[in-house]
Amino acid sequence: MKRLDIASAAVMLVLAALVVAGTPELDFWDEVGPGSRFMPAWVAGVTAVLSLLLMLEARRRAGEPVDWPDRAGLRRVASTFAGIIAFVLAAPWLGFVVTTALFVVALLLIVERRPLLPSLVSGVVTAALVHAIFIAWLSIALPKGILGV
Amino acid sequence: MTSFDLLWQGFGVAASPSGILAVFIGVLIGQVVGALPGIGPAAGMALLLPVTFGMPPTAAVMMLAGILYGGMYGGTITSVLINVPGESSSVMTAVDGHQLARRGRAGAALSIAAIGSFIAGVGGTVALAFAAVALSTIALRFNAPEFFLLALLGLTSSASLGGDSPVKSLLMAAFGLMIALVGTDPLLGNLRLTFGSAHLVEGFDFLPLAIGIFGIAEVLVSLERTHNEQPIVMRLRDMWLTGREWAESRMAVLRGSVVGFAVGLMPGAGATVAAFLAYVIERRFSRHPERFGKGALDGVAAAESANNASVSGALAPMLALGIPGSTGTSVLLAALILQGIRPGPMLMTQEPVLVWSLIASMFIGNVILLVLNLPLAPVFASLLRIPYAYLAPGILAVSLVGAYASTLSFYTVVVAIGFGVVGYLMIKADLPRAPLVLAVVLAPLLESSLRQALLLSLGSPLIFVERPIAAVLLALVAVSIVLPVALMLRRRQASRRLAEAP
Repeated sequence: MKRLDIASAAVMLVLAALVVAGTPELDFWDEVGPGSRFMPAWVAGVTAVLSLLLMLEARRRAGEPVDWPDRAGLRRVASTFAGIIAFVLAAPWLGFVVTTALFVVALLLIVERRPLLPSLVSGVVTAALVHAIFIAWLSIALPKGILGV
Repeated sequence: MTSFDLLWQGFGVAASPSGILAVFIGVLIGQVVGALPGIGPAAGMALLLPVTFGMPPTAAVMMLAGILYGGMYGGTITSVLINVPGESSSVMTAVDGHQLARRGRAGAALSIAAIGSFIAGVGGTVALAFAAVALSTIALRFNAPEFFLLALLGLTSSASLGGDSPVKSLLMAAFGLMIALVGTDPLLGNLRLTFGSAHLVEGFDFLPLAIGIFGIAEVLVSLERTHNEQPIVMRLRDMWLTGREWAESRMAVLRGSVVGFAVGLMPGAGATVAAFLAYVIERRFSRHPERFGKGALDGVAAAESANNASVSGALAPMLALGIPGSTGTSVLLAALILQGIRPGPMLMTQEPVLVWSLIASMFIGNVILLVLNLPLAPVFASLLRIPYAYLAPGILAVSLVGAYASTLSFYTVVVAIGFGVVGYLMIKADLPRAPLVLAVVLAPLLESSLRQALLLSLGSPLIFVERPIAAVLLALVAVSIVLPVALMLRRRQASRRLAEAP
């Protein structure tokens, strides 16, 4: 956890620098009072101080081990993430309802290795729920896709 | 119109068919979400936010609040039967409750938790009514300096009271402020941190942030392990509580409720701190402290009463001051703002029907939850047999659809996924998410009141000490920063002395 804490602190330092860099033309103080750069400057400053404190704290504390997933777990998370990306890419073409069904079935079969029939049922039930809540009840214009659902 | 008249009016709204339906859906979802490990009430509320856009604000807030306190009831079931806390405020319940379940007393644990939660919920709601009125009366004398310091206190106290690294909590609060800064300066209209992107001109919406950081992140983490625990079997007749057990635990319920409400009132501290503190305090008062950790019914009673009372406590500053007292109330505050309602001192006078309908609905909600948790507990227990694996993809899909539905734009979905990754990494790196969300919700109030205060004082920071209420708040902010540092140093001295001892 020590190295991860130092890494987190380093990321925060970079973000603080970005905040300062992202507000170049703005004023810290204009004639009457605080300008647009007032808050960003303070937030960046406080973040920098806290990041350094975290680095110091990390060096001192023994820290618990990080709860990284094992290989199987990492594969599950990575494939799920790939599935999420696939969802976003497929939804404009297939429509949200069909994509939901495919997503749920694919995740259950490939990622979680569940039996076929309950997975299919879950996919259909979830897609039906999405249709019922968002399309039928809330009348939201979700993209319909080529299958017209 | 006295408060009683307003409360009566509130009951009129809350007890209408649509009101009861909203409350019922809310507490049911809260119960289920609270029972599911790997996803908390905040995620449930975030997922339901897109749905609430089509509802009138009163119904929306009754439903979302129902998820909040329903989640406190639901977390008990998994904690006791599977030894997996439904969410973090049920950790103490898991410790003792599951030991009780192993000895065949699962029913007693669930019963005392349900009864304790009900008493704490109803008592807390009564206290909320008084506290909200009292707070809003004081708050009418608040101006920009006081609001800035109060918002700041909310952020700094989340550091001292939540989690074991105050530096990490404050750092995540700063991160949240950074996220909130992206977009347009609210006072002067200048673009900030948009890096030339047209999408970022509006800044980050709360909804995809909440859906990503709570919903998507938590599901991704839960997918790392396969969950194959089988819950302990339980039948209706096991739910009976003996007279002696009740006599032993009733003071625990009372103490837990009081502690819970007080902790909830404090900005930044929520159900988890409340449950833990009540548990520790109960151990001091208990006649059988040696039982704690091995199956103490009064420990369960105290923790469960506290986490329910803390929800009412957290609602008081949220309604009366616009300062959320916990993560869940942060999401609720954001939901109200999205509906066009701004909680604060004026809320009680401008929207009395909303506030008192909410309070009335909490009485109704607690009654519904008592029924769901006492006689219907075995039903929920058997629902737990559905492997979580079947629900996880569904939760993800609904998150993505919900994100799209809020703006009809895929950009929002991308933002949600992005914050999902951020949330996942934060969970892995043990960086608390609650201060971040609190900061995002408080940032507009924090910045505008700070700048207004300095405009009022013509640039002088002395305005924060010259005004009496502001000076008190400033002292509290200082204490909330210094206290955890002092405690940490003392702990380090103590452990060093132990290490050096012969």
